[in-house]
Amino acid sequence: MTASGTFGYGREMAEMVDLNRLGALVVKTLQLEARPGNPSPRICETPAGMINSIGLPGAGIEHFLAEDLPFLRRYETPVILSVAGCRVEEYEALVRRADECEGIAAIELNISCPNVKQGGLAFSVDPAATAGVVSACRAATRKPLIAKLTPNVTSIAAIARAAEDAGADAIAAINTILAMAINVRTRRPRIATNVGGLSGPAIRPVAVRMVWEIASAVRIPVIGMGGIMNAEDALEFILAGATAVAVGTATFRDPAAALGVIDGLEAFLREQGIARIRELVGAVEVWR
Amino acid sequence: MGDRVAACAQCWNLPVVANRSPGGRYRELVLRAPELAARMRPGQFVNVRCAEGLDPFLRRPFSVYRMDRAGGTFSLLYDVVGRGTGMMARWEPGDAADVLAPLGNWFAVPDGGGPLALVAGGVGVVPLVALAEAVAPTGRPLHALLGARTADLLLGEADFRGLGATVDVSTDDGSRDHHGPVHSLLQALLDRGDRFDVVYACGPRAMMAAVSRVAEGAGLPCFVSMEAGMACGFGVCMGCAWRVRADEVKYRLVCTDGPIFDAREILWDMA
Repeated sequence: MTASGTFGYGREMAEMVDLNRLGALVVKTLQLEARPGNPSPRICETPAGMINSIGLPGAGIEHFLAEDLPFLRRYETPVILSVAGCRVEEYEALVRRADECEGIAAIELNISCPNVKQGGLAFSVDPAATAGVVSACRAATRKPLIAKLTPNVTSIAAIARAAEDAGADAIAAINTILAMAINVRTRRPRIATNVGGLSGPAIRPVAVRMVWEIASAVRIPVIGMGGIMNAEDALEFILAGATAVAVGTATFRDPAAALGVIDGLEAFLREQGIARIRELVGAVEVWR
Repeated sequence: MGDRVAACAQCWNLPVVANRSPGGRYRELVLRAPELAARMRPGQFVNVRCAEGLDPFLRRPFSVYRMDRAGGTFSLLYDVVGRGTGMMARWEPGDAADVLAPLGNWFAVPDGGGPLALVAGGVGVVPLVALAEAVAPTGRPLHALLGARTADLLLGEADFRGLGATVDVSTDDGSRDHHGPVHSLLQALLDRGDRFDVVYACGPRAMMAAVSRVAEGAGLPCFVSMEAGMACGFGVCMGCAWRVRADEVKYRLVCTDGPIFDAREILWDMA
């Protein structure tokens, strides 16, 4: 899968990547209205990763449904909508709108964006708020609902359980880790909002640990992500309990990074004589 | 402004033909790429992967400098400023470079035969050399205005002279020719009666802002080549946003809406 916010709406990537080879395409997070996003600078490079504070710019869900979804429907790959709002009612309205549409396989609730002023992160740092938004959306659709969680919490397992109990069909983890970088000469933070979200290989061990904790705490599937660059990285998440994985920041460096992960996984299974990748899900042999 | 381009870029593994120093800390990297040399347009850029490993993590964007269609090569001119360009500086002929290209839009040249002003600040000369190279065969008069802090930081003078352009130089410290910033050189030329169809500019933000004000004052169209930190180069990270003039807060992406913009669009005093 692609991680939301790293693959545009698919159209931008279609000439560089065979979209039909993807397991699923998760589009950049949509909101009810158009948003300009955050001021510049929005990104900075860090060791083995980057910090971003993009602020969810976009033309809004109606624009996507009219202009981008028809294009994506020409492909066989399931399209997963990612949605975000400031209030529960906005999530509910977005989900209800998506529920009416053909060609949307599932809906991911982005309740974990660190870079918008209201909403976003506020939901998935708290079990009760997570349950509130998930249950409201559950009542608004029969499509599969994915809760995307933030790592900026003490116990991600408790949040995941709250999402499961409120009716989520799957958990996606992790979103970016709150981070800051400072230019020591200008004494200015390197991004305009001062803090942003860290992604890339630098966060992978944190993400693997959290996916393992979530998978141990819930019965619904876990979609693992956070710094996956290649098949071996993806296998860590799968062994930790993820039934699917998403490639995000790696796409910025190599547009076809997700396809490289798919090829690498197939090669690994052949080499190991493993018939189905499902055999590896959660198969980590922990030290006792 | 050039046409908006769909992301038709791909990753290429390009043999290094040369990686030489034309002077100072700058280096010219020549890459063998017949297809790209035939296809790329002046003002477009490429995104180079500098590290084999994860650090530095992101690619580095560079404007295309010279294109040799007959020889099947193109080159980049870069300033060795950090770890990424430091790694590039060590590449030798026979090495291969992982290059994502072509990226971005390109300079549009309006019809007509009138002279074009190419105003460069420091290493901002790079895309303007590419533009001069493309326009020179048409015989249209080109006037390059090259600005630098001091005379020994000047770049591209030989390129422009070789392409038959008129060249004027300005230095901030007066170590050569016109003493002052390059926009004041443009103003001086306009004041003495020089006429241009279009002004093209590339350099530091304040320099481009000043040049665009001079052009606007003279009623001349002005196109600028913008630079911004970016993670991808193909419109999905949305990191390279520039605020544009509009009633509401509005951004455009340097990578896919640019890097070439009509200067009147840009809100210069804000990021």
